Amino acid sequence: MTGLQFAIVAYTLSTIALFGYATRVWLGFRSFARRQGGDA
Amino acid sequence: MKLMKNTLITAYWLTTVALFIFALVLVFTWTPTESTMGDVQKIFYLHFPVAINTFLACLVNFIASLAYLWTRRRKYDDLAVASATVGVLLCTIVLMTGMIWGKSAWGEWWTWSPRLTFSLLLWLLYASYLMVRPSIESTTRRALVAAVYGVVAFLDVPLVWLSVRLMPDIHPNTIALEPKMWLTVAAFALPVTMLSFGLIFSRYALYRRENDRVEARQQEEEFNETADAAATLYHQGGLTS
Amino acid sequence: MMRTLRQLRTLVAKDLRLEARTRQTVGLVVVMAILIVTVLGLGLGPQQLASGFAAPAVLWVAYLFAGVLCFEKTMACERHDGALAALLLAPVDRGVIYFAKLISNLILIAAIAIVVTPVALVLFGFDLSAAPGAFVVTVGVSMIGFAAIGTLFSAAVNSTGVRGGPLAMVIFPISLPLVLASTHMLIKCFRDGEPITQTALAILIAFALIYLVVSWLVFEMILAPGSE
Repeated sequence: MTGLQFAIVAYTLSTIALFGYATRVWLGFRSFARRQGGDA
Repeated sequence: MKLMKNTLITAYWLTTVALFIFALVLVFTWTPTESTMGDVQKIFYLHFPVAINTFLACLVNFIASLAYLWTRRRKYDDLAVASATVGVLLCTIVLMTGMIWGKSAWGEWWTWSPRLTFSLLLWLLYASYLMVRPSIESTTRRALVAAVYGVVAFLDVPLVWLSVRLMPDIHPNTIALEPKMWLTVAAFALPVTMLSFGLIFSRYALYRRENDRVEARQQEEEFNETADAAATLYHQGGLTS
Repeated sequence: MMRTLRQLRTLVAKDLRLEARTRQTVGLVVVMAILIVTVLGLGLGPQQLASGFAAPAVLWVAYLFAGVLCFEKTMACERHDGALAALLLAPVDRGVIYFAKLISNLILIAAIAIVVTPVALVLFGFDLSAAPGAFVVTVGVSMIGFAAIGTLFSAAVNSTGVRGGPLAMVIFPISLPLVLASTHMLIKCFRDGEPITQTALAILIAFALIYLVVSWLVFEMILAPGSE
């Protein structure tokens, strides 16, 4: 593997980790709002 | 008021995503390639800001833990958990990008160099924080143990740093960067910091909402119990007198 | 000052008398530590054992697990029959209670180490004759730091009724710098034949002192009334 490929793998994984967690928190808000019955 | 708050939050996240994408484009199209290490050095632009933010998250955890010990209010415990979670996440990314860099630069996924060991120990320190919490049942006790651990763990960080310095070092110590490279680091530092603090505070806000409900229910139950007991006493008193 | 010392002596004597009469902790922990050393020796195999430099690491694993069990036991006896509540009612400073527990723990762990260390040294062929004093000082100072942290968290965690796992999970990561520093000093001393420098020893003593002071300060908060 070249250096560039390593770099791309690193960036992809990091982006997935960061925004994956953001999505998880967002889904948490969504499901909380649903349990409250609508208004979040 | 609420609409404005929601708009601000949406704007914050949209800006973060936009800045992050901008920084990504910058790294792969505009930033010059480092002469000795080559393309793999591009990892540094993300690695470094994330590492800084790991410390910031740990600092938030420390301050929240102290605030909990001082005031014993549940919300500081919530803030401490949120920051520890984000800290572990960021530290995982630091380790991961560091290992990928190491594989490309030195041909090894892992070497026991001071900084790698330091990140691993930091990760362990805060991962145990998160893992120990669920094993303690009482919420106040859990918050207390976690707060004490948070304070001691943060004070432990400089000791970890000192102790790993006893090991032989191969990590690049000073990296000579061109102005364009520093600009790229700055371009990543902004969205990464926004992202990590956004994550800490939204996780915190979610905990607050969930725990507010729990606390309200508990208070309601306690009130009902007290009212029942009072009613029983009243009737007993009424019967005897 | 005299009063504090007398209180300390009373509290430590109480713990030791309890241990002398029940003989639960030391026996159990010594056997377990020897078991750990044996399992690690079997796992490492003869090649790794030949050099003898696995010994500091193996010893530390044994000390760490033995220590956790020890801290747990000395605190657990306070949890029975409201003994701790009675202790807190006594006109004794909380800091004195902390130091008393720390001293009892140190005495117990030293008793265990005196048995386990020779066993591990013999099994792993680790040669101490070059600098036995350096070994004792390094391990001793690290033990003080380790016990300081252990005593603090045994009071915090054990009061929840949770045993074993969580206490180790809390103490191990915190004491890793101590383990790292002391194993490095030992390896340098015995493999490379370099004497232990003043700076290295100063770092270790500083670690132990920091752990001691922080734990002593925080201990009062853990036992403060109304924290339950």
